[in-house]
Amino acid sequence: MGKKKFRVNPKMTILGAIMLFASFVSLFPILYAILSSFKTKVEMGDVLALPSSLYLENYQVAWERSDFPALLTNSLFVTVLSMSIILVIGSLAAYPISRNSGKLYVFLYLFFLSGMMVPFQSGMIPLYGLIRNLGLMNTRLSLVLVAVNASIPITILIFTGFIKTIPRELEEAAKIDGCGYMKTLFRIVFPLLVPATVSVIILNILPIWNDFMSPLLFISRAELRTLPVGIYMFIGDRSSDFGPIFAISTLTLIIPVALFLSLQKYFYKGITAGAVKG
Amino acid sequence: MNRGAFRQKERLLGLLLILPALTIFLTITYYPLIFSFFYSVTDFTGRSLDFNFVGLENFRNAMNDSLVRASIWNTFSFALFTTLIGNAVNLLLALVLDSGLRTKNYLRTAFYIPCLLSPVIVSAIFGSILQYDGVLNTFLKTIGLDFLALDYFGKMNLAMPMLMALNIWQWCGYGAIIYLAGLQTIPTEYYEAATIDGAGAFDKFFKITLPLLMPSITIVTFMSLTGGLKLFDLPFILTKGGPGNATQTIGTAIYKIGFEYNKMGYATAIAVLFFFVIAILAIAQLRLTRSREVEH
Repeated sequence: MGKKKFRVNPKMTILGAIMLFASFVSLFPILYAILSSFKTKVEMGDVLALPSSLYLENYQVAWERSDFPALLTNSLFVTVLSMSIILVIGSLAAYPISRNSGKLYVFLYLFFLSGMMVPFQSGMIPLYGLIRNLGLMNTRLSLVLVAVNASIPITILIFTGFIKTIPRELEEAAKIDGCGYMKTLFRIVFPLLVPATVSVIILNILPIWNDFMSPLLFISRAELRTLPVGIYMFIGDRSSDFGPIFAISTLTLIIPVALFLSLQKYFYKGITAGAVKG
Repeated sequence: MNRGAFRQKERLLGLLLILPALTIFLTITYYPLIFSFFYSVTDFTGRSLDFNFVGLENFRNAMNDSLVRASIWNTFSFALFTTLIGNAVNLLLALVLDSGLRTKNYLRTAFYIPCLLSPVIVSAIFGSILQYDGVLNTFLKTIGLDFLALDYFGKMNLAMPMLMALNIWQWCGYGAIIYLAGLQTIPTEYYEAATIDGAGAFDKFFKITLPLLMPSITIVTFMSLTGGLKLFDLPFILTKGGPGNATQTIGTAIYKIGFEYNKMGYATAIAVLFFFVIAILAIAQLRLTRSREVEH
């Protein structure tokens, strides 16, 4: 790394050491789960010891008994479909809201944002009835609907804020060239929305992926469960048999962690974009 | 086509574009919320379609219900402590990350990773680590700190503080990233000028950093406060509200009363109170911290 010399600064060295230790404490629960997932039942009794070999039976139990492939498929289905819908309807709604300054549009904007303050439990019981009456009980579509709805406020916030930074001249020029409203939107505005789209995905993906409450309410058939409730049931069935529990935890946590490690830059940008003044 | 008709057509198209999002939002957020107001003055059970109007009885009962009282107390203390302590931890971590350590990128990653985990996984892992004969207590006993080895989720006065600690641990990296971005918007000239004027580190923090960081404080506090008030997953999975009612929150109480006791009218009365509490506190918080934001 070049010839840059670092002066030895005792204060910074001590701070560095403390932070290294703190980061170990922060990661310890995850490391502990991963290491313990390779322990045999006997080894599990000695909680401080490391596994003696790469024992994989916990993974076999976790994979088969939890019906992991089905859980994973359902989670992917719900997440991908919800995300696609939210990107389309969110960007469509944000365009007129950010390009009009009338009272109606200001109201609509604030109305959408008000969703951030409405707790899920406040409408949970009538929603349960509504989902039942719509015939959506035990369908993955119910999870998609709830996920899309929960993502609407932050998505409108991000897209509206972003479109306002795009100079109107581009759209006016397109109009002069004979582009209609929709053509301008699709040809000029949408291609410019890529950075905002990344933020919207980063901010919404984990809450959808980790959603526990709506599958708890709306899904009772095992084959339709998503990962959170599937794992919850799996854990409930084996209260202190921790080997398979750690194995399924490891299988589940590596997915978002791998995604994060490969796209870190976008995660940091995404969550700070969500923190801009609304 | 004349200009007026053209404008009108655009206006109509615009409203049409808003319609899909608005329809879902009204159906899933506001329609159920409005029905909660309606059910809250009935004795609706959810088992049959019959119900009677009972006026404000549900609200009166809620005030005298030990489960509801415990859950309100727990929810408020959780939201308050995780917001105050969490904010301090997040900010401290951001200041350290901003201090020029060579391990900055590694540290940022290491502290961020916990917030990727779902509450089910957090519960599974800590359910094991914090067992009475789990790895933490075994370690404490090995190094001779037996008196610190406690039954973390078995004691009434310990279970809720443990959940607070887990929440602060899980989200400290997330808040720190937002604060870090805020710190990086503060021009270094301000600090240079302050140094020339003879200001110490303490003065610089309270007179420059903190006021200019107010927009980040607003957003982190909002997320932490509303997130804390909505707490459901962790106590539902990890402690099942117990021991006793020690970790019942408003969220878990509504679920329990509505879906386990089948008193849906009563549960919606609590849900309505819950809505007002969050709305009032969130708006009050936004006003308070926004009023302290300064332009630069």
